[in-house]
Amino acid sequence: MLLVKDWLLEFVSLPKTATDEEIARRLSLSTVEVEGVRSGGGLQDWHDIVVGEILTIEPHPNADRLRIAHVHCGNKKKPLSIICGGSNLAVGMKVAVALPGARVRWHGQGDPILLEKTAIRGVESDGMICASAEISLADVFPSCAEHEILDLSALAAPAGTSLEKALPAHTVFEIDNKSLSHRSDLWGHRGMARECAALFAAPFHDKKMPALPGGTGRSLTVTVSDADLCSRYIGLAVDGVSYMSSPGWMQERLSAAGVRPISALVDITNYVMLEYGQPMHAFDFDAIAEKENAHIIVRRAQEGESIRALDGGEYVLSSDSLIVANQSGPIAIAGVMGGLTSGVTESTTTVVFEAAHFAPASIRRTATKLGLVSESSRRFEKDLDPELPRLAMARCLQLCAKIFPQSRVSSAVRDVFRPRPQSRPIVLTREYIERRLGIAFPLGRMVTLLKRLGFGVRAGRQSIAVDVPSFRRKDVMLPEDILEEILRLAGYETVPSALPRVALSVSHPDTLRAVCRDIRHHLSLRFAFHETYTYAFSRPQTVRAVGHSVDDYVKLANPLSEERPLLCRSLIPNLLEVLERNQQKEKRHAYFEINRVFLKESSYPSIPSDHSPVVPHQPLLWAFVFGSRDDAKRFAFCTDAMKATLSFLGWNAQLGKVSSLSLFYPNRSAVIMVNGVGVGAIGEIARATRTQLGIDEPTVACEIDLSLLAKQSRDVLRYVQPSEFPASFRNVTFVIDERHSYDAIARALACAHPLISVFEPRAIFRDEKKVGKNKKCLSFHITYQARDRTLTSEEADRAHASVVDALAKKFSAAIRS
Amino acid sequence: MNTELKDIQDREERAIKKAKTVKELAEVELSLFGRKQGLLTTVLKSLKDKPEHERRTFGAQANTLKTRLTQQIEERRAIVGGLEEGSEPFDLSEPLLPIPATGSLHPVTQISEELEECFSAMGFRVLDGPELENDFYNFEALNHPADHPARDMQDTFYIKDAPALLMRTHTSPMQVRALRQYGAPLAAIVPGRCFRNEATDARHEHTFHQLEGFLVDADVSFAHLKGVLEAVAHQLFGEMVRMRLRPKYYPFVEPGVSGEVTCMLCEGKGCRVCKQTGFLEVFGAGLIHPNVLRAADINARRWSGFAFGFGLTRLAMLKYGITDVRLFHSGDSDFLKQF
Repeated sequence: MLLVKDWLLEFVSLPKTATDEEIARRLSLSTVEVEGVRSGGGLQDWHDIVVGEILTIEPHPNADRLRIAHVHCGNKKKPLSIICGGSNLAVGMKVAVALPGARVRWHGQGDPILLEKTAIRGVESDGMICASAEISLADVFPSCAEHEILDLSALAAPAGTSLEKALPAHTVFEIDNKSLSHRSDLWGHRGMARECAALFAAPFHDKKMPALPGGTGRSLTVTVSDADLCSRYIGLAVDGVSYMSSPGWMQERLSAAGVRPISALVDITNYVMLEYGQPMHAFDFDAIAEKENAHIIVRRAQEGESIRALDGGEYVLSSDSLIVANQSGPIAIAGVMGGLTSGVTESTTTVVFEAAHFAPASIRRTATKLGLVSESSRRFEKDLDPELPRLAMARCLQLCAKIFPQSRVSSAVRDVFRPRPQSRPIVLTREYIERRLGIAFPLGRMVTLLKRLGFGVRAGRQSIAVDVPSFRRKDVMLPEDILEEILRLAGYETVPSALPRVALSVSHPDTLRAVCRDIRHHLSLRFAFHETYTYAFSRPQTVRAVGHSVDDYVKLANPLSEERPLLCRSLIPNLLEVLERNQQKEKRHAYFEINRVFLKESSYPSIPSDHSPVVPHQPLLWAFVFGSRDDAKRFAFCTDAMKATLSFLGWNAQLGKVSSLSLFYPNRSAVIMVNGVGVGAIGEIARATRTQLGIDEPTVACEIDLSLLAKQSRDVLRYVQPSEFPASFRNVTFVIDERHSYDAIARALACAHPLISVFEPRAIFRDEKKVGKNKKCLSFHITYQARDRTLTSEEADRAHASVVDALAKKFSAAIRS
Repeated sequence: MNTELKDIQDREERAIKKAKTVKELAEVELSLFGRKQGLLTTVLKSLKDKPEHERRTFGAQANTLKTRLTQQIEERRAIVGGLEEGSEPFDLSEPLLPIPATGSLHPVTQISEELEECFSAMGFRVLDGPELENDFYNFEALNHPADHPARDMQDTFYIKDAPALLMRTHTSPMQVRALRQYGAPLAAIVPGRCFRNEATDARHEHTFHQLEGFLVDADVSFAHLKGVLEAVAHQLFGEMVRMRLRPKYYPFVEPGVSGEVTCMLCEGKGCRVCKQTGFLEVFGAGLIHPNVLRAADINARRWSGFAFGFGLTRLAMLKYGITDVRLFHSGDSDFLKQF
């Protein structure tokens, strides 16, 4: 919202200390977000930009869309000829002319650039006729159509005047609308002025509005058939108006506040809206009247009923939308936009003004549903003060009389009003205030501050009772709300900082969180993986490439783009995309992620007695991908990273049967088992999947459900007292058939002799010529040790011989050494 | 002692002391004990030519000398060798090849872990909750009734064919979930991933991380909120920063504030990052709205509380000077490798 300082000052006398910056600062610190202050010209330097007047226009010889305008730019200068593509260019129009040397924003974008004299399609141009955005005036003079140039005809300044001087110097505060969400009273200059008065302890000058005068001559009736959605509707007819431009002062103010002047009647309603915050509407009496009688009916739309709105669009309505209608059908979408045929036109002589209070939720729903958010709907949805329509209507009549001296109210005042129930005063006790603020705040000071804001306050010895004025009834309902008023006005520094004193409580170790942390640290520090965050959303083509069906996925109703409409069921698809993305610049590909996925087939554990809608199961997964050309090491590295990490955490992971996941080679994948429970899978990505994803490097992926894992019991580390007696070491190398797995050999070795204390593999070697086809050669380093004596060399030899013998027998191993 | 032996002893002891390198010492050793021409070897060989009566004493003296010199050579070798080992040219800067791979932890993880530690030490529990939420916890229970304009402040991703489900727009739903589950008193933080349906650019991202914190106890006051926020600000940005509060509307707190800290880049003088204001908006906070306590089945007369939240993603951007928020979820290795 744009706040014009002059306008503000009509309602409040601010002290001399209230400079523009100070006003902005105080508003920011106590009330709303001020995004910027603009004074005088604007946001850019306007040297060499002057007001010009179009004398003649001729077509451009070489371009259909361009024309040559001859522009009067002051008495001292010859008329300039300027090439222009403006769609609204007209003889007699006043325009902003940028002369060579000026700075303009090309197509309204980027930083201003230096304008030079150039030829456009073979014809010299002496300058440029600017659109509002090109000279940073888009906020003040928004353009309606494409290729529209800025029309300055309303300015009094003669041709040749510099733009700086020609434009009225208004100080304008830009207020962030979001910060006004809860303050329906601040959506107009009057409300803001009242707030400023409170901030600066300055007098607020409200305009005294007389009671609405009824008139005669026109028959106007108002029926509100749905009082729940419309608690107040004031309508009255005014004769003696006509189609004309509004006076310069009004156009200037509207422009400064960012609203485009249209015609006097429309401008009056907009002016009142910007001043009081109350949207108004003007109907053409003759357009809505039937048989000399205008009967306005405020009702819900019938299902499928439609209306052509002022913006030219045809809108189909449903029964939860409120409309304003006459006997034959809708004439306005209540609070959102007027109808095209019922509005004021060039032939309007009698007007019906509307000022109403509509139910905010309904307005919001309708505007959202129709995609038709307007200045009006934006205000109504904040729940305006029901007292406001009367004041606004009175102000409207005042302006009308000023602009159309012949005008007069020509119907009875129709004011259908269902007042809100009286609200009870909010009582704050001294004790409550002290407990909530943490300090004893003097009641007297509270009374002063609240009164400044327009609250009625009665102070007792131990408490105050606050009457909330109707314009704050929406956002001030509780004692807490009153505290906020006090704090923001007194300044938050009034309350000192203190740390709470709380009782010690037992600690609640969170296994899952600790596990996640350890996995992260292990994988990144020990196994050199990069921790990655990917989106919770997946691409359909990636999901299909890993063999999933899109039907199994939870889907977004309103994805940002159609690219990622699916909620992840696995972290692997997105991780594979990461690998693909980095494959050109990296030699080693190691990425992992710990995050939630979303499974619709089961539900998130709910809290006892929770009746809110059930949400899908969202287990925490840990996944990693590792790409490498080294066939022998790729898989072993990944199983080691997985097993060693889990083992550190106390889980002994085993590779179970082949994983059924189709993204893996069937022969190079396995289910990961912990305590006999399948907690995940590991495997090498099948070529078909890789090709679809554009991944060149052979890749292994692993995924484990941590939520499931955390439920498994963990091994406690078992300590063994080191033997006091020295150990003996022996090596064995043997060739064995491929069908014997390393695991089977290791298991056999582990129980091959009681004197074996540890053994470790030293080499696994394959070579068709040296070792043989389908054979492998293994070397082990074995440690023999007794707990009660030093082994003699003979004892160690005997033990080793029996181990070698056992291997030879069990696996038909050919012993090499 | 025999003068011949005495000469050898004096001369060779000097030679041993003079030897500066292992090589020189080896030369001395060779000249003494060399199998063919070694001085002492020759002396000992000449024993058999000596007369019987001399042979005994001479032999004993020669052997003593041999032991003595051998010992001195060994001692000297230990010294010279040690000196020599340490003085060989050696490039300390040579890398281990092949260069060992290094991994990384995501910057948001690092910041989150730091904060979890800080809050845990203060007595806050660290909690986590569903990212796919229902309308009740994300909005309704947080005092955003249906059709409330405040819902516009948070563009929301909804779930297809399930109008009551959505991607949580903040971590605040956990206030209600946690209070319902654990009751009061409760102090907890909730770091987590949130979602807003807004177009992405360098400063906007539909997926980001927040940290929510709240305390519900008897007589929790605004002064306590300030105290905790200040402690956190100091932990995050150093003891030097000052904090100021401004009113800000969040339906689930009352009074609601926005916490700003002096810009650590310009130290409050005003720069591009703080938009010349000298302050950076960091927290949203306030006293928990009684309606929220009620939705969480907490007796709002007996208990009160405060809640605050801030963006972990934003903190990481400030801390490391990251200017494009999209990098956080890009998986770009050039980004990840740096942390």
